[in-house]
Amino acid sequence: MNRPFSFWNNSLNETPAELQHGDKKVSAVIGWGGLQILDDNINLLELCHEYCKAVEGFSCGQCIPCRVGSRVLTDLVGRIIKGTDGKNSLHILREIAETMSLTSMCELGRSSPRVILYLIEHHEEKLKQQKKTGVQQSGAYAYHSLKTAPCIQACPIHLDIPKYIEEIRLGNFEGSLATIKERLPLPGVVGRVCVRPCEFHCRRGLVDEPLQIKHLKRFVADHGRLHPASDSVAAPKKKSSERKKTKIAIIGSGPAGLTAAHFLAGKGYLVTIFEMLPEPGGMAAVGIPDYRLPRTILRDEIAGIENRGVTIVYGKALGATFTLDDLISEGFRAVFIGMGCHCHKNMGIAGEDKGYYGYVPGVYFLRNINLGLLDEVPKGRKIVVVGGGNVAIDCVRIALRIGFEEAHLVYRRTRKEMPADAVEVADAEAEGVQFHFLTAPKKILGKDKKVKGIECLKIELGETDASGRCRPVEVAGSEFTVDADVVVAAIGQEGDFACFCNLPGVEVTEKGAIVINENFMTTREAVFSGGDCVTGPDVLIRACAHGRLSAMKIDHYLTQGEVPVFDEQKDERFLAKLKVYDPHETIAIPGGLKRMPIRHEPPLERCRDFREVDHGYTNGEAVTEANRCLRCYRVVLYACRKEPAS
Amino acid sequence: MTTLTIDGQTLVAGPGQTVLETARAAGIAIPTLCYHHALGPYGTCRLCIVEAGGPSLSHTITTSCNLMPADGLIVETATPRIQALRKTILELMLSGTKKTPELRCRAGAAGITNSNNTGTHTSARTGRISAGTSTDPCILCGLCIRVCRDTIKANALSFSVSGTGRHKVAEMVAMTKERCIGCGTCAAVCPVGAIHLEDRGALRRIVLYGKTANKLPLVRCDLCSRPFTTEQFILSVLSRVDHTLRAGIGHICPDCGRGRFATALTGQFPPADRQEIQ
Repeated sequence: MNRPFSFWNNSLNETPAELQHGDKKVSAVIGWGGLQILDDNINLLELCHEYCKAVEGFSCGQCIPCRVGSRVLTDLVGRIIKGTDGKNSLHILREIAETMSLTSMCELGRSSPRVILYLIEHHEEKLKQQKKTGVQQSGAYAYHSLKTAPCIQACPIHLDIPKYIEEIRLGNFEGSLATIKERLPLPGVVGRVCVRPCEFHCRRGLVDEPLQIKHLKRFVADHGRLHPASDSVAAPKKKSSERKKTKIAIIGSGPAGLTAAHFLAGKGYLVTIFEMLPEPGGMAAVGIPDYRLPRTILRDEIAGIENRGVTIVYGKALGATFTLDDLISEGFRAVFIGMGCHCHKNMGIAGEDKGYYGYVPGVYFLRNINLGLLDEVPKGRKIVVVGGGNVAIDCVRIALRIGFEEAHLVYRRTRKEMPADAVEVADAEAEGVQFHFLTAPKKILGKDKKVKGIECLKIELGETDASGRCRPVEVAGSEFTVDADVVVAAIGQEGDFACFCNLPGVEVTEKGAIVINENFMTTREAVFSGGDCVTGPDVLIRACAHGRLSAMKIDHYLTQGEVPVFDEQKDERFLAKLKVYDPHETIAIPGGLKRMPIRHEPPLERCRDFREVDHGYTNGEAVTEANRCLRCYRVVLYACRKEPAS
Repeated sequence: MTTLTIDGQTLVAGPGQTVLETARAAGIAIPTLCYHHALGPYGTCRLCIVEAGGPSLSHTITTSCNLMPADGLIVETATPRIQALRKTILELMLSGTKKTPELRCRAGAAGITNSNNTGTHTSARTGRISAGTSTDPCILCGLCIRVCRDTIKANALSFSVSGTGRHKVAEMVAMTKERCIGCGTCAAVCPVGAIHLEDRGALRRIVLYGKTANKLPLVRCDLCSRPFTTEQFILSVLSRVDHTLRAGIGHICPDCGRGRFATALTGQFPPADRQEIQ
């Protein structure tokens, strides 16, 4: 009846690729981006009707064109199907859809009816023909609707960002925090240190500047801290006593472990976290300096998790002081390993293995300072940090704060290619860090078992390599020497961390990462894992996402005895194929509204102590910033053929 | 100072003035429901849409209440396209609510002549009224909620959602009785008359959607012993007054207050003022 075709994100394709949702074949997709017909038996009018129903259900109800318009559309398409419509019903349908699309307040109402306009414009004959022949409610297809947004899709933990921003706009800060805490127990931490993939997929960025999503999150977290009585999600839900007797062990109190503990305790399990260090928080505590993430914020949020009935045991390292078998014999029914990746990569240059005083890997440099072990930190006047990532930036900035007079950063590409957050690079520059771009280390120079300096080479950028960055090429004979008392290598954390992985029955890759399946289970029964120890060094929010999903998987495993792939995982992969964010989209809305600036401590004062650099928003600033949100919710509906009833 | 063109007139926008305010100051009428000059723009009724274009903005349809003027901006407030869209929005509005005189007046201005006198609106285009909130005139513009929260600071009104509407933000307006101070500002700002006050004897009722949402006893005037306002309202006003002024303030109704204090002020103003006015 219909030839397969796809019109999606403004491109027409006569031979569309197949789509899968989980292991089910998708027959048709209709949504914000257009329409994909992959099965020739699908009925367009029935598809439209189901889609309009979904849009009506998702409409938030604030503005007239979307609230009433979506209802009228559903009603009208329903009447067309029944044959009780008037004469020029398609014309009316078009008028309503056009009004809704042009005048709705947010992107949900603007984007959703566009596909109906497209259908009427390009497939009017087909619609009329289907109308004439009548629509048999075939019942052969099952329809499922999803709501997403570019920012939600970009966020590893899929926070409902437009919703919590809307709640800030409406002045409901408690509700906003509750929305975040549904998925993320560490809003204050993530609101300060997240690398914010959402902001890079913010459609407002295509008009003027993306929203300050991270700072808005921080604002509601701080607001919740100052008004603790309003914290409505603190009390864990009461669950069956069966679960209360079940003990679960979590290895590592980092973001992944804490998030898993939060959700497991919420379901009523007895959770014990085993932490190697004397301080909870994992990399969030020992990898991130206090001027970015004050320790009180982290400790308070961890205390909130402990209040849900989680016990943290310190000084216990898996593989060193106890084994997985010990845990099982102590009666733990499931184990989550979230021990992170605290290792470093060697630079592979001369002098590195000489054991000079003053040469230290970045991760250990940060960890010792963050744990207050200043005796372990090499002293001096001038420090050179090698690397261009966030750890390197943290090292140079923290060096100024513990008394180094000069801090230098050596990076082999240019500023543009630095993987570090551009905001932090600018902050470091303001604090007086000196950058040496297109420079590579060649040799660490030492004298009397102490670092004396570092020999460097000039670099030219060559062809683009597989990672999309230019390959650095050494310039022969351009060696020069930089004097230094301390040299820090912060070129990455990958490398062998099997050193403390004494995990019988758990498969570990050559690089030392723990192998898991898509249900977060390792090769050993009842042992789950997530976070950096699976992915290698990655961002904090992804560890939290792993922790949350693992907790749900563990609950499923303990109550049902098996672990399925969740619908939300299938949805995520399905939506990723539909490209929720289109960077080439033109958005015709009035622009020119700059993002609300962040107030900082003055650079020359702050760079000598550990005070927090960024100030939070005031209520007024947060509401003003929240007002910039376009609420780019997108509705999509897909149809799958129903399996014949057996 | 920003210079822009609205309907062919070159206008200068004052500091902080939106396009809507600039147009109105120049006598160009743009219909609105959810805009209130005391509360600023909000943008839910969508009636104030205009066509705008210019250097900073590709030609587009947008609401004028929250559009800030930019140099060279060209705004058309009543093109046939805009009028057609406004008409459809009003029809949608009418099909979702009970027709009140306020809405009927705007509908008439937009050329919607379907006038059955049942108080409900049916049309071939937008269909019947469906169940739920649609038997009341509320258009969910949020003015009452904003004035209660931002100006009165009582925060007694909020949008509410019935049942499992996880995605819904607004289905109807609900009142938290304990917070209501009975001031009646919500009734004063409502553009469609969905909220009103009824004073009977020494009792004030706040009627929302035709149902009594709250009952509050009225305080009697110290002088004429006529009930005039609620205890909660007086407390709310006093809480905003400097504590040195609070002492000695009695419960005096506006009429008596005017009578009493105006007498006391007689002769306070020098007659020179009066001459200048003349």
